[in-house]
Order: sequence, then C-alpha cells, then structure tokens
Amino acid sequence: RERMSDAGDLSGAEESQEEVMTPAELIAKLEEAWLNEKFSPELLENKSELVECVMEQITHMEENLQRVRKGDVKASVHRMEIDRIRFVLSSYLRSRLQKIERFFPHVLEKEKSRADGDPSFLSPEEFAFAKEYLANTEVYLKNVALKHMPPNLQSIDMLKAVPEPCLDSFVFLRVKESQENILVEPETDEQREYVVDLDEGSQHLMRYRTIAPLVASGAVQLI
Amino acid sequence: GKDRGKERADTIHQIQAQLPAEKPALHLRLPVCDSLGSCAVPHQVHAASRALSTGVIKPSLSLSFHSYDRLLRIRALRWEYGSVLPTTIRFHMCAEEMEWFNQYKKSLATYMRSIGGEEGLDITQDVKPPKSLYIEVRCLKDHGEFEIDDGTVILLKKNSQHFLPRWKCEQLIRQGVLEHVIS
Repeated sequence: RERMSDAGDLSGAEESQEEVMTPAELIAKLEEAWLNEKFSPELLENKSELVECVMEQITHMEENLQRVRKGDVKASVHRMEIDRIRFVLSSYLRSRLQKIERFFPHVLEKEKSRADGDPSFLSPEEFAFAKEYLANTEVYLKNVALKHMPPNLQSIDMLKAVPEPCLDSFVFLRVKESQENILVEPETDEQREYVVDLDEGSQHLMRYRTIAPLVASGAVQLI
Repeated sequence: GKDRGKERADTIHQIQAQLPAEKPALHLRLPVCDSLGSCAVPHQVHAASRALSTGVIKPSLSLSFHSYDRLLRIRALRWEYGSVLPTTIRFHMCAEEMEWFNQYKKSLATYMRSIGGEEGLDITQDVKPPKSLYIEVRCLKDHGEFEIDDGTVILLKKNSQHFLPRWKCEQLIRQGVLEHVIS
C-alpha cells in the first residue's frame, strides 16, 4: 500500500508512522481525531493509517469475542467496547464525508493544488468520492436548470457558487502543549496587537482561524 | 418521470423570464403548475424567495441554488431511509433527481467498502452512541425466527416483546420490524 509522505519533518512533530501503540493509545488517538474533526469548521488532515489500525483492532476484538465462553459477563463488556469504538470511528468518518460534500469544489481544489511533500487532506477513496460527487452534481444541475438558460448563462463556477468553510467560527479548545504569543487580533490604528499565551491544560474559546495550525500539529485539542 | 422534468423546466422558464438581468428582482409572478402536486408550491415559493432576497445575483445561479437545495434534501434521504426510498418520496422526485440519488448511493457504497482495507464499514449505521447493551423491543410485524449470538432462537411474532442485544436489533428497528420500547 502506498505510504503517505511523512509530514513529521515539516511540522516538527515526532510521530513516526511505524510507531507501535497500545490499543488504549490507539483509541485515545481516534477519539482526539474524532473530536477535532467534529468541531473544526474545515476538513482536517487525512488519517488513513489511524483508520486502518482501528479497523484491525475492531476485527481483532471481534475474533477474541468469538472465543469467550457464551454467556460470560466478559462478553457483554467486550461487546459494548467494540460498539463504542465502532461508533466513534463511524462518527469520525461521517464528519469528514459531510464536510467533503458540503465544500466539495474547495476540497478538490485544495487537493489538486497541494505540493508533493504536503500532507494529504483526502484519502484516495475520499478523493474518488469527492470527484464523483462533483461530476454527479454538475450533470444534475445542467440537466435540471442550466440547459434551460440562455447560452451565456449555462455554466456555473462551482468554486464561486458553493460557500467555503467559515474559518472565523468560534471553537472551544484545550491546550496540550503550551504556546506563547498567539496573535488573536493584529495591530490596527484603533487598537494594539492582542496576543495571548496558552498554558498547558487551560481551555479557551477563540476563532478557529487563529489556532488552526495548532490543531494540525496536535498542540491543542478541540472540545 | 419525464413529464415532471418538463413541468419543472417550464416552471423555471417562467420564473427566469421575469428576472431582470443585473438588478435585484422586486416582484415575481408565480406560475401555476397543477400537476406537480403538493411539492409544486414550495418549489416556486422557494425559487422566488431566493431570487428576491439575494439581490444582484445571476438568475442562473439562484435557480440552480434552488435545485441544489433539493439535492441536499435528497442526499439526506439516503442517510435517513437507506438505499431504497419509500414510494411516497419517489413520487415527488423527477428522473434527474433519481439519477443523482442512484449515483450518490453507488459512490457512497464504494467508499464505505473501501474503509480499513478489508470488508469496509457501513457508516450509515451506529448513528447514536451505544448506551445500553440490551433493549426492550416490541415486534411490529411477523418476522419469523431470529437467532441471537449465543445460539438462542427467538420467534418474532407481531406484538410480542423481547429483551434483546441492542446491536442485533438496530437493523430491524430501522426497517420497521421492531420498535424500541422505552419504559
């Protein structure tokens, strides 16, 4: 399977894709990705490897469950755990799909224009899905509305017609790694520059745009 | 069907003909469109209100937005009803919308099958976080024998009530065979 380009060097994060995680760590990472994706107004970096590992984990747990003696209380607890993980994974992937559909021209444009070393925002399967969504929607609009218009109005620029995600939405976050001098508002004629320090463990409410890079690097967690 | 598509096209034509090229539209006379049924009025009102409220906007964009808006609702149907739509809903859709729906569900199925690299994952399931392990359900129609994990076979007879594992019931609840009884 094709390996993703290692974004670790660019962002400074140490995470190696060959790193072995305990199941508990894996699920914790899934939950972090799930919450970030849920609360972020834009589509976040693709985490295919994480998804694959979680799916493997679920399969492994299902197999273990088959071996537990029927009727044993342990079976119920394992079952509950499997369902919980599957719910979080499904919810995570649904969040992504919803954003892909909602912002489809922008998502595709971003993927097409990214440089080779940059992290991918879409998995290959999500990319295929997004392209199909665009083609399907264009055909529909053409047949239902556009072909009835005068010739000069028959095309639509999807990038202009479909709104972009609102990066100025406010988000709640918890700080995982302390940050200093985060620029909240730049200096203008009327006001001085507004900067804040984000202490580890503290929680804040701010514009997503301000802390977007910190979400990507894992320095803050959206809640 | 075909007639509906033509009706819609005619409706769009009539609205479009009234929209001034580059100025906001201040008034729109709504065309009469009997055979589209109860969904005709919302179409026209929707299209008209968009054209009126969005000010200086290319007529083609506002009318396409109206169609696009319907598309978003049709998309939602796949997630709510599954891949087979109830007849009453299909009745309100034109051929192009059915085509879009069919392509969409194919695309979604392909994507879901690709998740994780083996059999995939049906992400239209597990919509609510699991709360309890077992739930009380009532059978709404005869469904015959039903086997649960430990080999026990339950007879799902109309109006019977059972205490069953939640994950086993989800599918049947969605299909309307079982009803979750919340006491």
